[in-house]
Amino acid sequence: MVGTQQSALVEQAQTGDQRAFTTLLRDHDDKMRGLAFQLLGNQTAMDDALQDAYLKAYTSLPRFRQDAAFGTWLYRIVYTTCIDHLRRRSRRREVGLQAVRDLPTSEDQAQRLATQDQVTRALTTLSTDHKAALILIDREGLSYDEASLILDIPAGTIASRLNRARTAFRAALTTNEGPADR
Amino acid sequence: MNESNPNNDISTALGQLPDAPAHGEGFWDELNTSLSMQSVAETPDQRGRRPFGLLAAVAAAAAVVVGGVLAFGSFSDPNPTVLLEAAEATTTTVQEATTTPSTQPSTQPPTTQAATTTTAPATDSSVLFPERVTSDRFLYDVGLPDSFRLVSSSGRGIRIEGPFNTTFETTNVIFGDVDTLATYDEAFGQEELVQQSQITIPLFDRESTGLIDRGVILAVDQWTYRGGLQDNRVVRVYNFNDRSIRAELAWDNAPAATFMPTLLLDDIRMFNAALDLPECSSFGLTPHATPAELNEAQAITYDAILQALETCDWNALEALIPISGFSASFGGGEAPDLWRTAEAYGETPLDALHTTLGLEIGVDTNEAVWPKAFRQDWSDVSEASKEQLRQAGYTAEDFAAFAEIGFAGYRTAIDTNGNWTFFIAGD
Repeated sequence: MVGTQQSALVEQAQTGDQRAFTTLLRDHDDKMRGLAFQLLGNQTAMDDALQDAYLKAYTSLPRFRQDAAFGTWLYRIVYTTCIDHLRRRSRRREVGLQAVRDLPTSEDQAQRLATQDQVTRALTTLSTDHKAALILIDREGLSYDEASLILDIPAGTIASRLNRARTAFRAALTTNEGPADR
Repeated sequence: MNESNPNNDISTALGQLPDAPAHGEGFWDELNTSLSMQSVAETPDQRGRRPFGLLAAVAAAAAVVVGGVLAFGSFSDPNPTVLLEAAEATTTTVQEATTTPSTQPSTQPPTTQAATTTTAPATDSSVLFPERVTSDRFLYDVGLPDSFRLVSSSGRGIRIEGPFNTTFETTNVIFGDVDTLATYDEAFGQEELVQQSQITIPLFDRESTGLIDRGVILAVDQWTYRGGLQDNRVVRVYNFNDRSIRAELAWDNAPAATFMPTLLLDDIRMFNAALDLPECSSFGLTPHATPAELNEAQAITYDAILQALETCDWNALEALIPISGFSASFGGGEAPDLWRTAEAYGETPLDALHTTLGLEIGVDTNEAVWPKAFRQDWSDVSEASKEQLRQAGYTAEDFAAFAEIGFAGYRTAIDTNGNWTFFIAGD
């Protein structure tokens, strides 16, 4: 979506135009699902968090002055909501992405799923903030500045956090190397 | 694995992750329903605080007529400028300081530690949420605890020092920022986490908390790790007045007692559900003593109204409103929905009601009314009663108007049968 077009939609949504708001959401939903799913680990939690986050975004919209991109602003809300959901899980330790997958039908596919599983398991060993930094920057391609706004930490901290996250991720991949022990 | 050689590019590895699944069935329908129940079109002015007084009441009533939004005021000490100036003056000092923890919290200089008391730039969050109220508002609305003193203030919160005698068992240090917390968490790792709990500490009781004013709650997420530090806490300070939440990091292995909100999160409506906090301006207010002038039926209703207000029990409040005959603002209204809407817009009708019920009572053969001034000629209103009204927020300008038309501020009444009959404002 072109910036001006998005800006117009934001302004429309700020007047209470629900359709404009959901149009904005649908434009960004892919990325928001990506972050929420990787942080929370399953579809149900992802949907719950995104319901909350989108509602929060809607009620906060009047105060959004477009100083940041709408997507960045929305990311921030999704991120804080996911953190909140994680904290509310109390002592239930929920790691691992959805385990239910189709059975592989070929060797290539089996290999791909094994790889996917290893990466997933490596990612779940990281702390939430490390995971978020990796996903936002290394997977989604956001800039340090954008990630800094989303994670609400100084840009300098992003660099060091990302560095630590990458190190931990590489270490986890090494540990997980070999056949998946499913 | 071949493709996931740990030395390969991280992005490539992350590219192997499964894509997020599509939303479950009904996600968008459910969201649309939720959105339909929200009201988004508000202006910053609508969320701002209004003076408590006649003019505000009249304006509020007008707002009801034209926009369906009721505006009520609140009752805080209007001296934010001085506080803000004091706060800014100390901010500079603290941000430049690098000292060690103090064991004399109320009298020593700021206990800044280079690694932990990071004052994050105000730019990051303020860019995203420019409408956030910050430290001056916190001081303005909540006030400093009696035994605390202001140490610093920035766009991200204030820092005050003093004994922190809540239900915490030890003297507490609260410092750092969310990033510090993250680092701390990393050092221990999830597998070492053996216990996590959340407690919510109401801070309305001056005896146990040392905090003054109303509308603040601490919600504490607590983690306990095997070995090393225990009781790592994230503390959320919820300010009912400006409807914000601040988050802090706390742990109790250091001797100083420091309290420093470091992160202002967003609007209460964004986080209310997470904290499971009731949302209304009268929540947690101190009950008024039941006036001796009330008969039994009136006393029951009076206590019930206060209890509903103090516990933010909308259902109980609704049950107290007689179906046949209750006036809420001009020409009647759909109370308590009218008030609920106003509260959702950041106004404080329930706070106003609670305060009104604490004003001097007037009793006749038909009803008990608050304040008594409503049933009097203004010239007959006692000085003590006027002083009470001043403390409730009525201004000299209001008084001048009352002198001409009689008291026309917020008033409420319960008839001798115990029926709550109105809560209105204006002439």
